[in-house]
Amino acid sequence: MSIVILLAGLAPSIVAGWLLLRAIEGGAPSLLRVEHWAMASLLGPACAMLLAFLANVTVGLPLSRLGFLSVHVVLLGLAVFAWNLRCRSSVSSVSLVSSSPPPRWVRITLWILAGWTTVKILTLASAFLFLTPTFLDDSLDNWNLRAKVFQHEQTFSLSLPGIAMEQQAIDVTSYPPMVPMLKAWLTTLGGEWSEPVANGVHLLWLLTSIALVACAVRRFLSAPWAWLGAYVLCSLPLFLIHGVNTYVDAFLAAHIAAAVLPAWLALRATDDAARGSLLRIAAVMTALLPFTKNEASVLYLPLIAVILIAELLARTGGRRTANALAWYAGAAAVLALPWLVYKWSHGLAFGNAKAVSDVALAWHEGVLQAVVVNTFFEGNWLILFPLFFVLLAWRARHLIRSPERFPILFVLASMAAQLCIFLFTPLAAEAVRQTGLARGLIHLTPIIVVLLLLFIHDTIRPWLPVWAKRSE
Amino acid sequence: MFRLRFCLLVLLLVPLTALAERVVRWDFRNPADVIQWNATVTSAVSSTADGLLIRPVGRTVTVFHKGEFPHRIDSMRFTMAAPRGAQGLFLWHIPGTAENEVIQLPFVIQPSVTPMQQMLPLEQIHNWDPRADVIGFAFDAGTEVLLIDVQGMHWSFDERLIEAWKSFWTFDVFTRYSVNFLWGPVLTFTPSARAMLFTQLPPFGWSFNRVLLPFLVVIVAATIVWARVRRSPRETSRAALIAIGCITGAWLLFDVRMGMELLSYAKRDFTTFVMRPLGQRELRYMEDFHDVLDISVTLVDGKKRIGFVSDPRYLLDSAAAYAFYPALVTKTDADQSGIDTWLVYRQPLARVTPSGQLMLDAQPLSPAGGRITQHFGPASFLFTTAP
Repeated sequence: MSIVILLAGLAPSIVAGWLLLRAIEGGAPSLLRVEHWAMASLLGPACAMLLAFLANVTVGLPLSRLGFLSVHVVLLGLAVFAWNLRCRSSVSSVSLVSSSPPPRWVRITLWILAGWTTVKILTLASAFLFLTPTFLDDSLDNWNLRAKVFQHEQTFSLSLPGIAMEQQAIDVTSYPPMVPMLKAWLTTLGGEWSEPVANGVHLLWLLTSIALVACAVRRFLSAPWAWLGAYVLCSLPLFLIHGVNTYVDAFLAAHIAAAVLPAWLALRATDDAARGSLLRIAAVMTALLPFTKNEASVLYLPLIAVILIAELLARTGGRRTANALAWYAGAAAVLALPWLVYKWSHGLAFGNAKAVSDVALAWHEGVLQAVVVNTFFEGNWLILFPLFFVLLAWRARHLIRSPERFPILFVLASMAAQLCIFLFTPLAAEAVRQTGLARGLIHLTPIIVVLLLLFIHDTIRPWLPVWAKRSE
Repeated sequence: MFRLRFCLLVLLLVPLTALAERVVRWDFRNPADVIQWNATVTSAVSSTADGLLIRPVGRTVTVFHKGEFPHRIDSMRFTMAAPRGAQGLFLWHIPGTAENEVIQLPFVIQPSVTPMQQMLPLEQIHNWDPRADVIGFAFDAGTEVLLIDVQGMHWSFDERLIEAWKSFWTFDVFTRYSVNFLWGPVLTFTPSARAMLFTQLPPFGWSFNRVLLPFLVVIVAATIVWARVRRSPRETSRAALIAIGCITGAWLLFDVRMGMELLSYAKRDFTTFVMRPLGQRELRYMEDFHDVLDISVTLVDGKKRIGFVSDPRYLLDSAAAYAFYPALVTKTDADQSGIDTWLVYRQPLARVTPSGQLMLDAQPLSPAGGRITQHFGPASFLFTTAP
């Protein structure tokens, strides 16, 4: 029954997201089919919850079943309207890497890896999302508790049990409400609060990340590599744990991937129409970031903006950059600004349970050691980061002028910024105790996995059989 | 030729099996072993048929063995009984240091009239020396301990390798920190250390990555050197494929290991929570708390406020506040007025007076006239003053 409610609750917004994306693509469809649905799974629910939030705080639309349904109807209507308005051509501009089919032993190996991955996901998701109660601290104190409050009160609220009114501006109540509102909608649809329904939605974001990674790799390399990318992502223990638990870092990882990957593909595109289409999609997905988690506003959004502008100026010239920026500005005005204005008008903090402006800078001991241990000497990432950094250094000369520079700079800049935050602010405690250290890496994991697969392919290319090489 | 080489290899390895676990043992029920030990206060120590009875009066008593051991000691195991429980010190002297310079390691014996075996994984102790030439135990005045036997154990190289392999497959449990980090495989080299793996944090042992990463670095470096030296495309390809194979194999092994650990978390949840009926379920380190919550939530339906009384060390406030919402959970340090129902969970300081008042130690939480409506377990119940 929980699965039925989840599907029924998510389907309208995902369909709306699909239509909106198609409208944004316009006459140059640039997404793979699976990619399209994956992005729609992020865009649709995000737009629905944004619309519900705006309707609630401006005109007092209750977050009841009828209120949420009406928001979905409006969203679908807008999406259909936009789709009718823009969509004229169905000629796809997506070209995939061609290669000869792999030998049987490769197909069997990939099937075994896929089976192993499926067993892990299904077993863990069943245990942690559907069959056991909410367990983790941040879910009990924040994401799920806020969802319960919204569902019970049928309105967006800054008050939360256990948080004094004077704390609301800087505590978890200052966080973007997308995830709690989505949980509130799904449980409201079911009629009463339901743990499996509220928690089951997290599986969507794990599957979306897998789809985005596989599709991105497929664009660069052959199908076996795409399968390998999906396997590598799910083999990362800490990412998988997050994907099947009720924290929202895997959710943010999916949104960041959805914002960065299209922009990266746009920088690689040789066709103007395809580039424009991908940049428009990237603009919309980037504009949604402030509505996901606080760190998206203060860390990832500025980095994406700065690095992308620099890359666009370097690669495409002033006019095209201006066009792209116009889309980013427009998307931000529609999708990011409302929540940011609300935060600013209510004095809500942009930090992680602590106001950014209240942070005192000083060097903190033990952080570097904690970072090294957490990244290289525990079971969190297998051997992902040693491979990533070694291959990045090995191929630096080739990558310095390639379109891969954008995601690489974004990843490295994000890591550097996170390291500085842990080294120089009181958040060092989160690093030393390892309570928040790896979260930032989880946000970047899908992009890192795509890059890693590319690095591996290009490094071992001389020894690859024909079916495994991408054609030049 | 291959068969001959294989047979030779097996024959070369056979002698290693002779170097298995070695144990030096003193059984204090055997007078021949008792005389090998000395006591600082002989009147406080008596040899009985059941073992060595130690009853210090007025001052600390030390029993010790001095002399060369037949082998290095990596770990100690001893069997003792202490009806009232006891705290003791394990002592040792490192050869070459001053005679009165001994190192102490405290340990606790739980109260028991039947003998209990205790392990001291000495290899985890920073200043333990396996060549120690004096070992002993010290107990304070007022203690009563029956020392039955003491064993000093040493493991051979191949035993340690086997333990390392077993510890590689020893899994942690899903707990509060598992969403922040996962220890991963931790290599230990003795059974005693493996038995204690993940019971103390950080876990004592070598991170598997400490072995894996240098191994991979060596493989890759060797590949590069081989390619440069041989300058033959065929040799380079062969070396590269070996390196790629090693890295791929390492990834797959690590993935299987971590995947099985994650699946063990789920398996434990299935067996201790999902498959059990309400009232018998346990969820991870919270044990039966979720069962208590599920039952309590149905019993207090409609209440606006619930008092929650629990040992603060358990950190259960968030789970309680979440489960009872929309009823607001009030902790014991807040104003209790307006509350007529309390959930008490594993708080031995909480009690109900004969007049029906809920007390936390000396602090009254409720007015009189209340009653327990549901018992859950030790020091856990639902209490109400509602009519």
